[in-house]
Amino acid sequence: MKNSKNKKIAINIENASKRYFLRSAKAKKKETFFALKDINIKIFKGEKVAILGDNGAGKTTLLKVMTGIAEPTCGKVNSIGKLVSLIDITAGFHPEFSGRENIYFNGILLGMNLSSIKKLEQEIINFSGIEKFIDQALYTYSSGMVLRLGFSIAIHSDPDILILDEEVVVGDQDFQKKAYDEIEKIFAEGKTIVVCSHVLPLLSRLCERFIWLDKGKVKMDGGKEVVIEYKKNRSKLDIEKIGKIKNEKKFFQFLQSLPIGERFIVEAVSGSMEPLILKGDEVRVERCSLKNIRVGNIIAYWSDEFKNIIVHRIYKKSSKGIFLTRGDSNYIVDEMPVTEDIFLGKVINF
Amino acid sequence: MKILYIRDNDLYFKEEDGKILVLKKNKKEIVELNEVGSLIWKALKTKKSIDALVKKINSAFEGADSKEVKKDVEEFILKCLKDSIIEKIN
Repeated sequence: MKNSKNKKIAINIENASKRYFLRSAKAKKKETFFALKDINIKIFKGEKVAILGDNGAGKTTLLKVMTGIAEPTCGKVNSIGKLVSLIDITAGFHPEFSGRENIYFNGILLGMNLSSIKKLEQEIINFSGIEKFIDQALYTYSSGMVLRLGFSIAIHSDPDILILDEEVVVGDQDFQKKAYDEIEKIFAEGKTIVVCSHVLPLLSRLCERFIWLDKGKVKMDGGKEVVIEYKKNRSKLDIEKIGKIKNEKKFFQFLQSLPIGERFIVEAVSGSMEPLILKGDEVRVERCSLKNIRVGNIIAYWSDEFKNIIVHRIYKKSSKGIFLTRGDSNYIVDEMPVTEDIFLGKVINF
Repeated sequence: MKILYIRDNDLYFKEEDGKILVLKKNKKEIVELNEVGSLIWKALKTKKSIDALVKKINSAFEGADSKEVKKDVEEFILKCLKDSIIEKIN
């Protein structure tokens, strides 16, 4: 930050705010939430900047705004140079392409040219450690494998500005070490780097400037003194939170990630005539593929409208997908399509 | 003798946004662990003592008060035992 007049700007954020609307089914009104409030940050070429802050402080939103993944609601954000972000490294992948094809597809999206991708192809594959699977379709990969490939491509794309989020260093311990070594190499190369992490010892060693975000605002911006203040502030750790199943989409998505054949129980939240389910009834569900469902089967699926898991019988299959009636006596809707993204499983206790 | 703890490795769990979700044995409750709870869960893949967990948290969150962390870990372990997602090994 010293002698900033002589330095070239890499990222310039002026009066940027990011507003989200929180919708609540109960309140039936939308609440406004500012993830970022009136942010002014200039990041200079070659600077290594760490963003600090607790969960929900706006760190990831700030990085997303910097990279252009999210637009600020108001204010301006400009960046100069090739910017590569390791925020969502799986973005820009095609599930039906092979790993090798995705190196080209993703590499081009990251601004690499064909000849440099060709030159680096083997290096990218070797680094990712998934040589055996590189010609298999991406949808056959585990999420860890996709992340490793994404990390490998991004790190080889020679960015001017690198933006890293805290969850990017993935995989087993060997891969994590390789990834950290590679990040350290980039740090040594004099490129502009913005990182956001809770791994304070690593950051304080590698970064020279620290921006502390608190509730969407810049609380402190400066050198290592920011880390000292920040540490003092968060000496109390919140460990005890343990939550139970709620009618939240994240829990539905968790249940949807259960392997085929796994069984679980959901509780009926309202009565239904078809099939007859009473409020409080326990409904047993088995994970299966939507392809194995037939007309007459009772299934469980997520309803965005009711923010809940709904249980119903399939009554018709069309060329577009599977349809069912909503047998609720006081809420009659003709047909409700069920697709893989909302499908949960087959009900097995009826 | 030192008391050790280990997570129930038969339970299905998944990490979402740095937080771990665990499907309990009764298959009708999902336990959501916060960031630090998730760190403990990962560490409990193999048996660990409370002191080892405290050490692990202190190294990940430099500057945290060790006494407070120990108290928090003990409370957390008790809750996990009550929820039957971890086991005590004597």
